[in-house]
Amino acid sequence: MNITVVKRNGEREPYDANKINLAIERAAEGLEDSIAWVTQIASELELTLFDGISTQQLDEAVIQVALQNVKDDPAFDVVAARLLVKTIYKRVLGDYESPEELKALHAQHFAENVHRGVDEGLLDERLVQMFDFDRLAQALEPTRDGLLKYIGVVTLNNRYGIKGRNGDPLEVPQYFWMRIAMGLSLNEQDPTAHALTFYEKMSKLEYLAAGSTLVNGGTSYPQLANCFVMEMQDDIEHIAKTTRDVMWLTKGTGGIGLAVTKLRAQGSPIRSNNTSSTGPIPFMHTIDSVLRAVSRGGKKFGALCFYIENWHMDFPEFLDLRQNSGDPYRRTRTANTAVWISDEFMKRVENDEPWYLFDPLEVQDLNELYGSAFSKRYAEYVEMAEAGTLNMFKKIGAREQFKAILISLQGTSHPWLTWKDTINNRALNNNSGTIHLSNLCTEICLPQDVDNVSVCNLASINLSQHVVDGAMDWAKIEESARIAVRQLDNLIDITRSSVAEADYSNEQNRAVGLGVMGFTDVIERFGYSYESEESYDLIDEIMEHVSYAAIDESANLAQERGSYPNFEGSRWSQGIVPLDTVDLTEADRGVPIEVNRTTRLDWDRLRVKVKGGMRNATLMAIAPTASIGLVAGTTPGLDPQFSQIFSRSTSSGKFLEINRNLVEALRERGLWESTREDILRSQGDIQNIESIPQALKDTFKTSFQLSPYSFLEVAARAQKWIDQAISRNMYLDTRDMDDLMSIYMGAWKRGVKTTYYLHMKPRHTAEQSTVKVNKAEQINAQGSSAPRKGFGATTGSSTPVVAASAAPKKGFGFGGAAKAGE
Amino acid sequence: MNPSAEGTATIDGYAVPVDPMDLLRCDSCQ
Repeated sequence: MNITVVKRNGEREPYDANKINLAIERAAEGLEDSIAWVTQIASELELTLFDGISTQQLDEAVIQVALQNVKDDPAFDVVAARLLVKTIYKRVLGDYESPEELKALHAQHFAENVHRGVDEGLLDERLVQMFDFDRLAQALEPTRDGLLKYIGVVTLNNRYGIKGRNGDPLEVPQYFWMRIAMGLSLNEQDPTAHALTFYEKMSKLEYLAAGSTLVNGGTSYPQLANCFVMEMQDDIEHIAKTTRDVMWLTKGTGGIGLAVTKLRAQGSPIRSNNTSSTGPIPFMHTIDSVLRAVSRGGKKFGALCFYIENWHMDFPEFLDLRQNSGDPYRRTRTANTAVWISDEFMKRVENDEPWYLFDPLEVQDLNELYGSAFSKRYAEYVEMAEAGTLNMFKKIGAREQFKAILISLQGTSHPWLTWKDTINNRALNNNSGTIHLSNLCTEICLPQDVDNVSVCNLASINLSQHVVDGAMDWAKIEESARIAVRQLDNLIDITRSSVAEADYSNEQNRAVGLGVMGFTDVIERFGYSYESEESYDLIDEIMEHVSYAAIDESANLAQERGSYPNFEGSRWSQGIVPLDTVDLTEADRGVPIEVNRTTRLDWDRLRVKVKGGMRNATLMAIAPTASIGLVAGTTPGLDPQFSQIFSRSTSSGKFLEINRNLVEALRERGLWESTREDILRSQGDIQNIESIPQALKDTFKTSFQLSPYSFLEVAARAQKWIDQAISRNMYLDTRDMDDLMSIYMGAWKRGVKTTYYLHMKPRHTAEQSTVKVNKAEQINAQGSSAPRKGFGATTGSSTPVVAASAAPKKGFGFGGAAKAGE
Repeated sequence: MNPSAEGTATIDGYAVPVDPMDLLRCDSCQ
């Protein structure tokens, strides 16, 4: 059967295997065993062809076939990434023959594509007014696309790249980086020079701006801030106003934290109409519905986390918000939940003492207090309750409630545990009010009130791009931190939101959060175990350098541009740096904070300098980096390796990722070929594979195999340098409640400010029951002479070419190619 | 329910763990 390919213009042409082979060959250039890879992809591609396949389907089929083979060798991911980038080049720039021609095309089309974006109302018109396009175009370096893994190219293209009104893609990856860099230089005196500096860093993946910035940077709708943190006041006007604000912030993209502690409890009196309140739960459900209503055509729900203090009368119902069963009108299926816990509560848990719940209407100052002041006032309210002078209260055991929180956490992964007193007592911006909550991802620590919706602006240094000759490049880390802080500071003057209180707070505090990602990627390359002193010391040293450089740069910016408006009266203005607040917190808590206090840099010099002025109220926060970690091609935040192989979902379907560091380490020892099938069979767990040496097993433990205390120790050592917080995902094998209580008590004792999702190891894991899909054998059985690599590799054997009529009918790639038993 | 319980996917005939980051809803700010 002859196969014809339908071109974009509708014309048909005969399928040209040579042309496809050449494209695959180019994509495999420079890789070890490239000829074998080309043959393997080409012969498997034949299985997926059918008459009338479009050129776009053909491109996708080649990529999917390459991806299917990632389990044999991560090099296939490189091939898939290159093939995908090439399809983007073709659509945006047209055909090209050589790398030189590609670079020339990049330069040639850059200005016209930006102009088109402006003409169509997609991009900020200042982009075509303020920049020297010749200089920018010449700096574009397409070879940097080679840094992207397949998932990175997909994420950039699908989530961040600008498309014309007619759906045409307008950006190749390097246009995208340059556009973001330009969009963050609009307030500079020499915008071209700064755009080039920012472009150099981001296009080399040395640091990345966070999601909202990458979505909206340089566009006509520059909502660039990442996190919005607000509290709902106890009046119906403000509840309505908050609902409106959530709608607008969701429309603009941005994670939201929302505290509901101030809302009076269910049954609490309402004087104006002589009735009683329904409490906060129904209003939370209303906002939960808003998150689904404003959802970009239903494709992307809004993202929000509700916070409440655990002395609120309705806290037991708050714990049920994420339960699957029960009244759906008293559930939040979309929004997340977090609990805002005091030192007083943790002490009462330790001492097995009672805990009292109150109606906020009767204890109105409690939500504004923290630390020892909270404890004192709380004790007074307890006395009033016992004396019968409060209308509503409930007495329970502190341990009983702690267990209830942890049982809910086990079952629903909510509420996340966050410690209000560690956060408030360590705050350097404590002159501008109480911090009532953290944000969607639990890394932000900023105050808010009725006039202030706090805002944070994030970026993350990619640690894996800061390793040179097997060691951290401290000078490069410092450089990245300094440039990132300037870029973040610029963002504040450029971004806008639809909530006046957010813009106001952003201007008054200029809060930024510089974090890191790729920690596990780095320690694996160093051969360290996540749960080792080497790793703990390394994260300590990394964050000390990031913290020092970020603070120093903010002080420099204050000299150049002036301090942030709320600087006077802040702890910065008293010469205090984040590390100093550990002792201050310990003194207030009256219980030791169990964290190493080693320092390496000249902090006395910096203490003097910060007194003179700071440009930003906060400087550091470690975000989850779930999406930008994909673009950077590294492990997210401080997270451990979840598995050596795992499934990733993209808009083009699921595909398999394999830990390249492990493959490399096994290859160095000549073990990869002999162990890879065992690794796949064991779902990415190498611990029971005999031939793998113990040292590698220690380095490549997965999340559920590590001690949960190692997550806490890494967080605590990083936290001591960070003025905001860390999105600390937790992974637990144990379901023992005493263990769980000890672990979360341990987090508080180490001064960890917040924890994020709790991932419980599933009780049962799926067995590898499916017979191995062995396309190699299928092809060989039909006579292929192609040399085989990887799983199913066979020696010898004969020929091929599968008839087109044998092509699967289920589309491309995964699930599309022949399946065992079908 | 706890999203981490949805932890296994089948790809190409193999059961493999799902990247936990796929389960997070934090990409609005990230």
